[in-house]
Amino acid sequence: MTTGLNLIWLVAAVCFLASLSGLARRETAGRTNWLAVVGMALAIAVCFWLGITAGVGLLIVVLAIGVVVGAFLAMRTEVTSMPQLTAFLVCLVSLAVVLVGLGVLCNGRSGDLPLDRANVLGVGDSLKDQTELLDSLILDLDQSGPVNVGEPIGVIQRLELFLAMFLGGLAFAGSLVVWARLNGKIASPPLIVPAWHWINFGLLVIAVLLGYWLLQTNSSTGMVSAMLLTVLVSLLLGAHLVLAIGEAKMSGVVSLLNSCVGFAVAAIGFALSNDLLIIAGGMVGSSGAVLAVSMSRAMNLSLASLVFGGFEMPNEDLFRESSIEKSGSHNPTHAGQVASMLEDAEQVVIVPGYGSAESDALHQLGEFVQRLKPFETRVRFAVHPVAGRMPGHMHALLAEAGVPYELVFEMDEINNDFDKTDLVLVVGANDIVNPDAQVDTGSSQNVLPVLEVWKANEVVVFRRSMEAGVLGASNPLLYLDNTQVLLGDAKNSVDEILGELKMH
Amino acid sequence: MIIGVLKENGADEARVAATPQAIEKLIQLGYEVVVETRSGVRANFPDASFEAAGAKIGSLAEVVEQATLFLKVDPPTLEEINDLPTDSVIICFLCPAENEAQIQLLRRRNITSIAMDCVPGIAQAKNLDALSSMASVAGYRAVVEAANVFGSCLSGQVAAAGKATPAKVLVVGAGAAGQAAAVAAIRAGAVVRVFDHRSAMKDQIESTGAEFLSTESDQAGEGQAGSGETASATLLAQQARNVDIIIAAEMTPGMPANQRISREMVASMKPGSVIVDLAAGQGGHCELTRPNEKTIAYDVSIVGYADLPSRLPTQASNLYADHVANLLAIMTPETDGQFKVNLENVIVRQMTATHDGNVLFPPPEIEESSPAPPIAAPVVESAEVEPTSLANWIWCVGTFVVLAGLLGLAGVFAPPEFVPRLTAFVLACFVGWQLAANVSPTLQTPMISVTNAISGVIVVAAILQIGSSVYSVGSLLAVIAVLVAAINIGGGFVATHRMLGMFRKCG
Repeated sequence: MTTGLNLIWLVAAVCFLASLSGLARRETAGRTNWLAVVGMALAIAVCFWLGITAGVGLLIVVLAIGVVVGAFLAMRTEVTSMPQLTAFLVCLVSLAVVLVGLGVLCNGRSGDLPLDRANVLGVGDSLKDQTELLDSLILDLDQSGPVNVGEPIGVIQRLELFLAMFLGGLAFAGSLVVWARLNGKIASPPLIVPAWHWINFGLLVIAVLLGYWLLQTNSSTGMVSAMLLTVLVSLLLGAHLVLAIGEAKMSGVVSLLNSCVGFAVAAIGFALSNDLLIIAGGMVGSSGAVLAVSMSRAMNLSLASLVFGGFEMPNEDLFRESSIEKSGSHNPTHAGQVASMLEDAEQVVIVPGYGSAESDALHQLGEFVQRLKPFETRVRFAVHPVAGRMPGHMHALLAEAGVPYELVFEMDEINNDFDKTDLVLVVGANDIVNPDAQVDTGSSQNVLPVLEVWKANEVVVFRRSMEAGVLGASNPLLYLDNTQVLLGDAKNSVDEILGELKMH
Repeated sequence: MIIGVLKENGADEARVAATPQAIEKLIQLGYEVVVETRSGVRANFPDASFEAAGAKIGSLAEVVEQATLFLKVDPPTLEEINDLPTDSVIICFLCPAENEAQIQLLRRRNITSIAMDCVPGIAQAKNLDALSSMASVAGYRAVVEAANVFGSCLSGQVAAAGKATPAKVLVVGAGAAGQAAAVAAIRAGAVVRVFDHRSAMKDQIESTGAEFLSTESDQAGEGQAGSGETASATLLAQQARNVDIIIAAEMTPGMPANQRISREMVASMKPGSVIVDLAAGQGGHCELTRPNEKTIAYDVSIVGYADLPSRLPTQASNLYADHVANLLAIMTPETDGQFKVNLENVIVRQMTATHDGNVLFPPPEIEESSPAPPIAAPVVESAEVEPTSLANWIWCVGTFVVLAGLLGLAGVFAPPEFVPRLTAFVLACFVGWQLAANVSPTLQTPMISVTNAISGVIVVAAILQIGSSVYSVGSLLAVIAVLVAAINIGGGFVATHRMLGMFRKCG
């Protein structure tokens, strides 16, 4: 029976890996989801077929309810709020991880994957270990109540459970905070408690001590209480870490939390000797880590400063005073003028920021592509890695707005083309086009890679007001001679420009 | 600001200081341009071509009246300077060392003068180096002049009557002119030797296909110049008897030419041989050279034209005008058509001869350590400073030790079944990393959402928790876990499906 389970799970694991490989190119992306669905269906079905005897009906009903609710949620969610949905789902998985961990503790080891008792405690069992084993067995037998007569929990298994609970709790609280912040339920500026580094450190030390207690204790009450306290501490730590992180870096945090959950799942897999969980968890964990690393690179932070630096980079380090005047006046413009500039230009690049998605201007921007075809204007979109609120978010938003993906370019792909560009429209973006980020002060540390739009012939910046951006730095781009500023709501401005284009 | 392009008045000067191509660049920098009538005619740029590029055409009087910045090729004569308005700017070949009177007059009239022949030899100024460009043009033209006078083909030929050997060309000096001459002569089919006292030029010359001659052995130091001089004289004398054409191109700007070819050497050459002396204007490499003339002595033709660049006026003008446009780009930092003399900039400082009523020539020596001046707006500093290799190494070793320690601990305490699990885990992490690193940035959001759905596989563990009995605290927890994990699975897959469906191609 176990062999059958494991073989089917192997197939499921391969499906998961193959599904991820499909995402390498947009042409093969279609198979991604179906492979993953097939893998998941196989993994669950084989559990019902070979794994369990009791409660099949109940579980199927619960599963069905869950899937339908999840699908309904996902159908209803706008692409703009995809990061919130992801944070919410991460939250749910980590909750499941914690619940499963607690369940293992309560049930003892479930008997479905029978193993030799000796294996649980490890090789070279000394006499002492045997005695302990007997003791704990007796202990279990002595106690009535929730603790079933299962196999006792070995030291390694406890350690694995501890890791799973810790990571699960961390991800749960962290993603809850992310979800609340992205939904605007928590004030946006990061919360920095005095001596917050020490609080983090203290919580970590407490967690380690609890882990030690968990390994040492023999009573099941001790184990359960140590585990519950661990969860509590990890919740506090997760919430506190993420609360200290500003909104600008949420895209890195989301990937990191996803990675955290993956590793927690793998740890549960270790505790339950379940290869499927180990492989799937390891894959999810490391892929999340890749994204976190690439996001931190895009912000020119180290991963460590992403986690423990509270993500806050001091602005004075990032944006240095450049030779460009910041005072003085900007050149205002109006929709009609921008429309005629668009008609005259041959090469147009549009730089969308999250602001353009917020004001729902992306669909109209996408319309430029079609509308400008008669004028033989080439319209392209330039996307900064941290333009959205999660990795790749802006790409998804543009795709939703009907912009063909061949017209969407990454920062590295398009940065050299700006000097050959006639007109750049910056819509709802600020820090990612700030020339100050690149002023050379001798050290190349803390240089935020930005889109070098100022090299283009003309730049039009769509802005709600002349205030500073998310990172709080004023943007000298606005005061350059080849920059014109179109004040007002992005959607209205773009609508007006489309109207002007129609009239011609 | 309006730029005036002045006509060259020298009888031998066919070049013009601005070409239509360069004028477009100047207009992009924010300037207006007025060109004196018929300035480009001899370089094959009719007035209409300037007008097509966006310039206006005017008489000398009109140009002088409207413009405040003047472009010219040759050094201005005193009369030409007197025509210019005070407080204006002139950019041209100035030869400030030789034209003392002009410099003083420019100073008195408070005219800022920029010398195109004083470009510093630093990497950032490469695109301003008009002298090198002119030397290359001259080198090419020297071969053409030589072929014009020489009685045979430069290339060897095989005809029915027999075969003719290719001409042997000796190029003296491996500078810009010498190199261009060598390349042109090789292309024409001649056998080319290049002499230079700097053995460092060897590789560069040999890469063109010419033979490199030098008296200086690799070990010889700089101190042995005296003996080197006699040695090169001997070598050249020997070569003179052998070769058909000598192109003397060993010029140092502002210095009198090194007289390398004596009367005896000319006499020793074969009848019909040709000498082209590129240094005719600076006294000549050959004792018998007469500036601006072609002479015949001892049956050897000696070409001493000092205006070789001007004999390819179209190309020379284009090159010169591009260098001037590059200079103006540096001196117009805001691209707003406002010319600024920033003496802090090394390049500008070196090239400015007079400014604000002061003579600034000769310029100070360039400090070796002076950092590169910022040329335009913000310069991208993209090169990452690599962390020191030692720190890297320590980090690697540290990680290795920690991992080895952990593995050791696992070996001691973990059950045997732990090891294959760990293997699977490490491999899964590695494969996952590689796959995720391959994901195109466009698809990162679907990737997060699909991996998130996959992590819902925890549902399997929850289901198996139920085990034999549904009625226990553990099972209750498991049922809740199944519910939330199922929400995650449904949500994650549907979200991924929706997003992947949105990406579409053009049309």
